[in-house]
Amino acid sequence: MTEKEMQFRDKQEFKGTGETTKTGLTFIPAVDIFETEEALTMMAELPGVAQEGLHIDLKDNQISILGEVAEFFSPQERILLQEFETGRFFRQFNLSDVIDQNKISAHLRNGVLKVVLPKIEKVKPRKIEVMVE
Amino acid sequence: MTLWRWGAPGAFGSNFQEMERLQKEMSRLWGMVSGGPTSIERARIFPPVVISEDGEHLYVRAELPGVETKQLDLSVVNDQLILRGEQKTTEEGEKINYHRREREEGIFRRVIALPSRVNTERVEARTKNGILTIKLAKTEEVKPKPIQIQVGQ
Repeated sequence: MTEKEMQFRDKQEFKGTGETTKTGLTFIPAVDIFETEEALTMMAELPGVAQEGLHIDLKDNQISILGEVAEFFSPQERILLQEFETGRFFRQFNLSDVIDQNKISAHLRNGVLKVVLPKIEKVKPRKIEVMVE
Repeated sequence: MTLWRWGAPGAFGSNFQEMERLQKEMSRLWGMVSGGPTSIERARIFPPVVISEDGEHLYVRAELPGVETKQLDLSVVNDQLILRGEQKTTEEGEKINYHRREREEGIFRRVIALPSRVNTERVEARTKNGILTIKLAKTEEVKPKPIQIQVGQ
């Protein structure tokens, strides 16, 4: 159980090489990556991204995540205070050879994307029995 | 809990308002030069919010990915909105080894002074795609009323 109080952080803006063709801001989503014996799992925070705005691409051992954020204001609304900005989210990761690229699965739930990258069979650790003579 | 008052004078107090105005103007100009975001005021308390209004309602929005409505505790007292909750990011389970931990977790407590009076009976909150939207109905007396102008003959 944690009682740590959350701190305000600015959203990190993406400063990639090459210019984007679309105007607007691009942010780097916060990502957790953890490993189990079977798979690597990536959890990315993409607030405001719906399923139709999410694009995951896999090319040359590189996985890229692009999330488009839909405008949440109605035209009648007038903004009084703005403490954060919205824009698309973008991030890329290089995958190692141990990932079985045909079995990658992704789920989006309440603004959090979970990508499961299963390991190929031969790299899964095997327990080595120690024989005692 | 930090209380942040709407439109309160800054740290210099009213005597230094002119200096503060100058400072704001300089920051704004600097922001334009460096291409950074302009006209964004920040209270620097988690979670950052966007407040907007239309004729009938006030809207308070916050980015809270992964936070379910049941993990939130909302209350409205007079013209203050109190937002409390918890964001959890740790995966349960054995044999989990982290490579990267960028997502934060913890509790948050924030008081937001609302810019107009609201009907405390009519507050709706919902989360969609990790964005919390709180819709507060304005009280009758602060709603804009159309004024009929009689044109004399």
